[in-house]
Amino acid sequence: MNTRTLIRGGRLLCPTTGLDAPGTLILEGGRITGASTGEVEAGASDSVLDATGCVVAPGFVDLHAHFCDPGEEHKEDLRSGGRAAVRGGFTTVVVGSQTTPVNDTRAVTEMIVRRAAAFEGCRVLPMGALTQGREGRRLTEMYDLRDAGAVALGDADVTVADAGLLRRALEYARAVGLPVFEQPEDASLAGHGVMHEGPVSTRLGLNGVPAVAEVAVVVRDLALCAATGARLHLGPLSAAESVAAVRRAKADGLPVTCAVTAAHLHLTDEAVAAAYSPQLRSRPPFRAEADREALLAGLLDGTVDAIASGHRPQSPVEKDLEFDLAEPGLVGLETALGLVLRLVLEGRVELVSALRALTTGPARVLGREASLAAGRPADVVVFDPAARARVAGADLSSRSRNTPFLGQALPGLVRFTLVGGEVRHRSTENVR
Amino acid sequence: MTQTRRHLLELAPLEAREITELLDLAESFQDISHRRIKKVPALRGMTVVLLFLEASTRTRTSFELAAKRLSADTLSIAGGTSSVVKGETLLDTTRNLAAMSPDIIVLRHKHSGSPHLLARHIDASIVNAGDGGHEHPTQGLLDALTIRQHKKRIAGLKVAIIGDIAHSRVARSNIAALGKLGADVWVCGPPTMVPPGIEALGCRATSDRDTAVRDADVVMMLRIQKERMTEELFPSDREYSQRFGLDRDVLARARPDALVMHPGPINRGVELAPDVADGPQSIILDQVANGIAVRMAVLYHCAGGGGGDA
Amino acid sequence: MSDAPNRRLVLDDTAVRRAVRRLAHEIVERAGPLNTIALVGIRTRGLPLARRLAAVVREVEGLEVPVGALDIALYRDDAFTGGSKVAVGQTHLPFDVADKTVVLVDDVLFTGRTVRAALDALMDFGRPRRIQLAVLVDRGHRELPIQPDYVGQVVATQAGQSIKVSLTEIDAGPGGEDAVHLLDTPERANGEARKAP
Repeated sequence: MNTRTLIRGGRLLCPTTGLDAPGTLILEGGRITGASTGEVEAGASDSVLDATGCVVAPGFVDLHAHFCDPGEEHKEDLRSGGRAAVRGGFTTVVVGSQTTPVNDTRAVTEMIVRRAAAFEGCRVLPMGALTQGREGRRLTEMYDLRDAGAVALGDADVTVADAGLLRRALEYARAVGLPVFEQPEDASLAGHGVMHEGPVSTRLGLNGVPAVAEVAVVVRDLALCAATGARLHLGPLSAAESVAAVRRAKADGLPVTCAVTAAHLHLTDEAVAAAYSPQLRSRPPFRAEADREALLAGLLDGTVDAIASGHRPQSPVEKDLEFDLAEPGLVGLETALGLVLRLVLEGRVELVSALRALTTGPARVLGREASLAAGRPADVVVFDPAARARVAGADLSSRSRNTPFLGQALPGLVRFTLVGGEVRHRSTENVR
Repeated sequence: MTQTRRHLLELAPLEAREITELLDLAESFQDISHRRIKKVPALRGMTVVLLFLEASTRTRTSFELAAKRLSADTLSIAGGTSSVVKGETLLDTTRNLAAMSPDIIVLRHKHSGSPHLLARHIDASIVNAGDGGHEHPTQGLLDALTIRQHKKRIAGLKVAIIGDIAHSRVARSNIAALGKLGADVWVCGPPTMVPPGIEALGCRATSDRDTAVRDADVVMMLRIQKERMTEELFPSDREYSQRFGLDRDVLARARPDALVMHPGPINRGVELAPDVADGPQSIILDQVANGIAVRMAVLYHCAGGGGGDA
Repeated sequence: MSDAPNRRLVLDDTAVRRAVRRLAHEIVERAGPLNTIALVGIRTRGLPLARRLAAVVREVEGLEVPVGALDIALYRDDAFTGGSKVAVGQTHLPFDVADKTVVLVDDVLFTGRTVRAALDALMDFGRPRRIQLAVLVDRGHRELPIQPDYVGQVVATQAGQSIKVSLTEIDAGPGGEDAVHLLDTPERANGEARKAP
């Protein structure tokens, strides 16, 4: 059986190949076999997806998400996380190593890969831990992790405090051929901080995390990156100075990349002031307006390679608390596209640049390619940029509801998400 | 219940007019404490829960007396006896209390913003009796009332607040109240204790004690709260006392009729020399006495009485 | 001063002055030894009336009768039920009420609830030997078993009407004269207790 899928009537947009034209995308055998700007006759056995009014783009790639599986399946698991991803247009998600047990052995990596494959969600690519137990003391068996399916090495939301160890880890990872992910935050500088340190934290009487807590680690890591030549990925970043440091490092030719979350492109510490809502507790914290502007500028000039979801599910047990007792994090897979499109609507960024940070950029961090070129796996997203949908807790595919965007109308509706040519998400909503 | 509850969560968003109204109301409650029967039936049949999850005998007794002098029934729950320490969350504890239909919950808690959390989830008027390093609104009001009674005005006075500004809810509430009423508020402490952006709250900041005290009408010393300090913020009590404490010589740089205030409890010999604490310029005990009247006014206001809109 | 159709003049400036003088004389005659009498005005308009009564007593008898002010906001039974809020005023009793004959003074007696609150408030200051009640206008429609001892003027009213007392000390009306009007608009709910503007 040689069934074809035709995605017709949409605007084909591929930041990797530069394709931007109305046309039909042809998928066959799980791969993209062609794109035509002319009429394509549908055969009797072809299945046709109507993309009228929609953008047809490579599926999004997320570098920073947590599916809580194994360990905290009441917040999210590989099935619900995978569903949330395809509902948000993501076809590939790197899941953090902060599972319980920590993903620091081949056994855990293999289990995640095997279990995820059983669910019809996104492709799940595990991040293996850089140090055993993410404790920052001993290196993990990185070759084993790679062979089991890990695509990156990192201690997720824990920064490696010991610079000597990080140097060894970078050297070793370089040989293994995987990028090292680091979320930079110096624990001693962060102290008991729960939000960005500045006039707002002063007003609210909450302990602040100074921007330098992030910048100091970024600067250290960039020096180690230069010294070792290993591929280093920093993020999610939050501070203006961090972006500036990465910009300089890139100019110097270092193999460094970085990411920000979609939420950090919108929210600042002022949002916290509204009502001490624990939904706005995040790591890294939402910083000042100047920082937000710097993240946007980094996105525009290519310093920022990727926009991540920063997906970090939390249950009410972790969130219905005093602000400084609540766990940080917000779910982001199902709002990332909407937030990015909001920036497009606000005229802050071109659609193609925004999509590049959701596709080409993050794929390259992993040494992969996300494109609509013939021969590529048929990971495709079809979304209607003009539709608006209200973020409603009951509608979320994620098992958690911890997002400050609940109730807001965000632009963009994902009509279809295809992974390997299979339709994994199909919107039945009809919102315009 | 559909009616909007009146809360007192913080002074920062209040307008000068609202603060003045509360002070006026407090003044009309003052004489009740001097009557033979120190009680009026205004809150008869109402229940006031005093939820003090952080130890504070002083503020709790002041609120309790205020509630009782208004004839409210009071229920006092302290940190040590509450189920919060048994792992129950603040919301669960408060929801249980709310099921008993209290009219007002007075909350003291070490976490900033916890009164806001209750106000979002609980159907009762919430009065903030001090939340972490955020605000202590009734302290700010009683300090303003005490100053107004001694100086007959607040506008134009120079008020120096000296101590650990970064961790002080008393400082924030005083900056809000006195600043809005037109005082020239200065905050002073070691740079490690003066947080970024404090000027945005309506004050001036310095780490030079003499600048702060010079020609001041009011010098308010804050307690060095070691229990709230999580980092190394100054080298020693000795150096702190020498550079940021208040003794007679330092006080001499203020105006001759300057008032000395302290929210208590005092670390004698650290931030305040004993002879100044007990001296003629000290109005520390007036602050305590005014506390009851201010808290009566706040409870009465939150119950729905007094001026203003519900 | 011409009255609107829904507003009728009951007592003019002269009539109010006469009523006050008559009340003062009655109090002197019937309240007992003058040195045991104290006048307590219920805020807001009872207070200037009490001061006027004391002035007449001083003029006629050459004796100073102490005057106090009573604010009953905290004793009302409708403080938190009415639509508008009650301002809290100062209570000031510059004498010991014990063993005194306290004459409560108010402008209008209607349901009796204000007087009930005033009795409670007064009692918290001590144990007077006797409490009497003097009002400028009794308009009827009592809801409590309370009767005045001294009345300036009885005015027959209907439930939907209200009495508006203007005193120069408080109400800077046109012409600056005392007056009592009968209005065809109802009092706010729950009696005459609303005093403060």
